Amino acid sequence: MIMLTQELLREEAQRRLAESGVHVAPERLLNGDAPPDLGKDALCVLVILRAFDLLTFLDGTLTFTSSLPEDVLRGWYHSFTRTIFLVGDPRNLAQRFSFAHVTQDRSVAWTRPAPQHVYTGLRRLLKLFDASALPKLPKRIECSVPGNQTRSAIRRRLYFNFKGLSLEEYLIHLNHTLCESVFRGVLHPGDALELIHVEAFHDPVEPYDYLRVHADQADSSRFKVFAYLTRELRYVPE
Amino acid sequence: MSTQRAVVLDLALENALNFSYLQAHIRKDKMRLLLAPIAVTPTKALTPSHLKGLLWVDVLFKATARLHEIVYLSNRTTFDITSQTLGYWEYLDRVVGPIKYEDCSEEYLGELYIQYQASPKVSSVSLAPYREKTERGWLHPASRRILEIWQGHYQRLGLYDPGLLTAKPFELSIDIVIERLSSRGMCIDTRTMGGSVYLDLTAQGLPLRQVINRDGQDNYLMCLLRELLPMTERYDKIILVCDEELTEDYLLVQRILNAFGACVSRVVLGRAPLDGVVQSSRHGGWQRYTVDKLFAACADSPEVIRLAFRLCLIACLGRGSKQLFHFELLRQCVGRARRLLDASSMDTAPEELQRFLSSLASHDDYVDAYRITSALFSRKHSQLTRGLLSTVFA
Repeated sequence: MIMLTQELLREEAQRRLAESGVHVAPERLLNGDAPPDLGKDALCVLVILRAFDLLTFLDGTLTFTSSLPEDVLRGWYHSFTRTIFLVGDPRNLAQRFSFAHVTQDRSVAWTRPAPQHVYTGLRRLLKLFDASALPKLPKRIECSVPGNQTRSAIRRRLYFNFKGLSLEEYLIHLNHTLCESVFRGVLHPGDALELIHVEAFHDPVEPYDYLRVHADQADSSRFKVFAYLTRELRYVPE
Repeated sequence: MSTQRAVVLDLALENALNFSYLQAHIRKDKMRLLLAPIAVTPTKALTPSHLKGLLWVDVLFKATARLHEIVYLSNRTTFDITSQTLGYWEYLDRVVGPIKYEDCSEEYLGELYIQYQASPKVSSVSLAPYREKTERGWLHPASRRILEIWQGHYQRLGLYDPGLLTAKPFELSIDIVIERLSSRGMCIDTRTMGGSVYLDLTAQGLPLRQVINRDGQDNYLMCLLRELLPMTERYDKIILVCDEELTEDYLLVQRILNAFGACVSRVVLGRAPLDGVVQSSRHGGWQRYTVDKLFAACADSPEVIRLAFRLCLIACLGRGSKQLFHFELLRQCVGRARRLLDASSMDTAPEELQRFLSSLASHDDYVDAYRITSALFSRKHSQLTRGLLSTVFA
């Protein structure tokens, strides 16, 4: 069992920065400071949303990420999995722009990871997604990672602390958690994922394979865990 | 040239002639036109830029009315529900307090507008009560005073008053507009997520435009659509008139109305630069150019001055904003106007006037104000002068 101390969170943040080749103190992520600059060639993904439905978003994010070639996914991961959420209707953009993935109901679309300047035209047409209200989230929701299964599927839980988050912030943390877990090989096609929404994490927490750490929005001088993905569940403790 | 090719060309020519004949024939029929110009918000003194727009619309309206049935749309509510007007009223009530607005001058109320614009903005929540009563037809006494002064200016300038003080409730609610736009994929509504509502014509390469912000406050574009969407089926054509600064917004409106089946023309007018600068009334700089000061600079009969204003602000300044407005130009136009009126002794045959107006309207169905006003300068049209002066420029 693990205690989520500030030291542990700091180490996790430092590890994540180092993976992108950024060797700065993880405190750089705190106090509302600008994130470290990765240069103009850093890759970013634009996610364009007309509406939000959790299951559609989960499925879309996992499908999109799993479908990316490994070198592209690596490049994006090393660019802090930078993602910009924009308001837009993929149905209206399909003729002018090509997307890496569009959900079946065409409410959400993902661009391929590319340097920001590649998407200047698309960005000019759209607005930043600035939804302030988090819709009522289900306590638990299950989904599976789409794609061709290459090993025996396993089951994990994703605990997510949504307290005090706007929808925009929620999407940012959820997106990082899902995409980075796919890159790290924690989530594989065929795996079952149970997303559990909580309003706090209580120490100690069960062993995890992915921890989403960032500045605490309520106290930006501290690190906070927004989500963690458990190890393989062999039994379900009640 | 082979015989076969000559025959094809002849046929093409014949078709082209038939087509233009058909077009001319169609255009001879009376159309129902709606003239929907942007309004000047009653928060300031009228300046040459405003007058240029008002005179332009007046000439277009009067000339086109001789060819087609044309309705001049005027509804205060559409443009009063802008944050700048509501904010001005809130500022007056909060900072200036109850004063005898009926005794205030246009200049004084315009100065208060400059002060308001320089003050910190209040939240849209503070404007909500004003927003609500304005939609029910309420008018702040300061703006009532300004509009009454403007009615006087309209009379002096010989402008048709389409109903400066008229406030009409919108036929369509916001939700119905959103529903209609959404059904055509032209709207994104993120209100349930605590977000905004946007007009979406990205399929045509136009950027998203917010019409309701996160606080639920709608803007003038939403009001304009509430006003104009029901008109699409009632008129053969809608003529929008706007400032250069609002070109993008009006392009969106035009495309939306097109999508609902309306035929739409857009007239875009540049401001009249004062002292070499194009700027909004909120920054001042207009104090030397009020209607009273402009009239004072032209010592002549009302008839001459009215024509001089039109020659100066329409024909000399033109559609764009490159030509500078200055008093010397206005005085020169007073001289030209006097000479035109003195020389216009020859009667104009009514059918000749009608033919001339039709030729000016052959392209857009409405008479272009610049072309008809600048025709007064042309010797070629001297036989039309009297007819034009007694109708369009009366």
